[in-house]
Amino acid sequence: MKIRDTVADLAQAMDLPQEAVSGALKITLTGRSRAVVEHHRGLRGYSEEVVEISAGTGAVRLLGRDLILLAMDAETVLVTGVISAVEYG
Amino acid sequence: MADAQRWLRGYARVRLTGADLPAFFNRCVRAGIILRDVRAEDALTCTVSLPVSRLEAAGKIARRCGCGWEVLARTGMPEGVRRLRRRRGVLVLLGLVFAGLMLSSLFVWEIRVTENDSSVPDARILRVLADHGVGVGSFWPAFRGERIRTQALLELPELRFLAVNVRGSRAAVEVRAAIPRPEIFDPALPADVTAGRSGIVESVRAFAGMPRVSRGDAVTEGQLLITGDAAFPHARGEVRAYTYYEMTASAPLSRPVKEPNGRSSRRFALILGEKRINFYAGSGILPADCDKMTREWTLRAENAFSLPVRLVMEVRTPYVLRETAADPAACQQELERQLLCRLDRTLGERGEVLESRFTAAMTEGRLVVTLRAKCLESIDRDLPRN
Repeated sequence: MKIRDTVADLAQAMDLPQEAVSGALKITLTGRSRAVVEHHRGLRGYSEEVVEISAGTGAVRLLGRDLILLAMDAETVLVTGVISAVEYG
Repeated sequence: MADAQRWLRGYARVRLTGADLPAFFNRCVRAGIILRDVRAEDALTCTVSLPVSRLEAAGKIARRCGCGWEVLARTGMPEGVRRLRRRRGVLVLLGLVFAGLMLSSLFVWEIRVTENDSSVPDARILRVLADHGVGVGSFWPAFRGERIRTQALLELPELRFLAVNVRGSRAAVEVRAAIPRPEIFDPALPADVTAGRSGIVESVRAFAGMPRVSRGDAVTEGQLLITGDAAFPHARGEVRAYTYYEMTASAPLSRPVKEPNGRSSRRFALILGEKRINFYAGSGILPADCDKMTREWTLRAENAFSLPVRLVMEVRTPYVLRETAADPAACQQELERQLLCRLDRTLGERGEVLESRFTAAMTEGRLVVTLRAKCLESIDRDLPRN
């Protein structure tokens, strides 16, 4: 945990993208209809209303309706549907 | 593009039932299986698309995770090939069609002239090529470009370049017009400069020989302007003169206009190579007062192959001619434009228009427009002495 924080601080000091150095979760939202989650640690739960994605140190929940996992591989999850909120837990 | 790749690789739609579906997803992605289009049906059921090649591995993971597994559909090329294997007849037919297309692509089924900048009509060029074995139905691998070019150019002296480019079953004939040979000036040949047109001399510049006229002289067509002498037998020079033109053009003030009368009828025909099969009785001669529009469709894939099959559709539309009054102002404008064009063509690059005026009159239902113009032009013409 401390090492990860130190790496993140170092990356910030050197103007490097944090997600590239520390492997932090990166979420890209396009409007309300599309979310790309990179560097995930796996799926914790999935339904049409909630997609819960493990982020290593915690979890991220995408809330909405008609949610579809359009694609998923070891690095990236692509979620489409009507996204109403992103929660960190 | 991604969809095309997926189709080439083939994919299956699978229904999964289980209490811990996320565990199945996580194990799949860790095993390198890309999941697509995951849709929840209820809390315990979802459908997912997987690559066909990883179906077995995903099935094992599902069993390990305690999930129910049902393959709903398989799509893509591998599945198509698998189905075809069962249908030998279709496979043989496809093979025959493919072989036929390959064989057909060795023959020219469509030939046309492109980029023809010469005065030779396309039809004449195609006729000459057909005489030398380049036409519809020719076996193009036997073409010898150099020989075809030499023989065709001998018969078409108006051309300086000809090439036949074959792509698939389509031949494109590219031609270039010959550059006219320049006139060779022979200083020893006795010749005079005479007037090509009547006018009033504006300037005389004698490069060789003795001038016979000077500025302000009125000359008539054919009159001697510069004559060759002992030192310069071939007279040369430039004589510019004011010339006068009068041109007339006329047009009727009412003209017949076609108006469709009755229903159009369609006729079809099929052209196989050079053979035409008409799907109608009677000849192609049109009755009086009838327009015919013809459209043709060739069986081909652009830039790939062309087959010797063409569908022809003729649309015949009867019409009546109705006399309609023309707008005199528009008619006059058009005639004036035509007269100016005619004058420009007559002068060419040898002269220019200084003044012009038009007069218009109505005569027997026709509008007559007259152009009177004063021009300045070179009137010198080389005339060899007999």
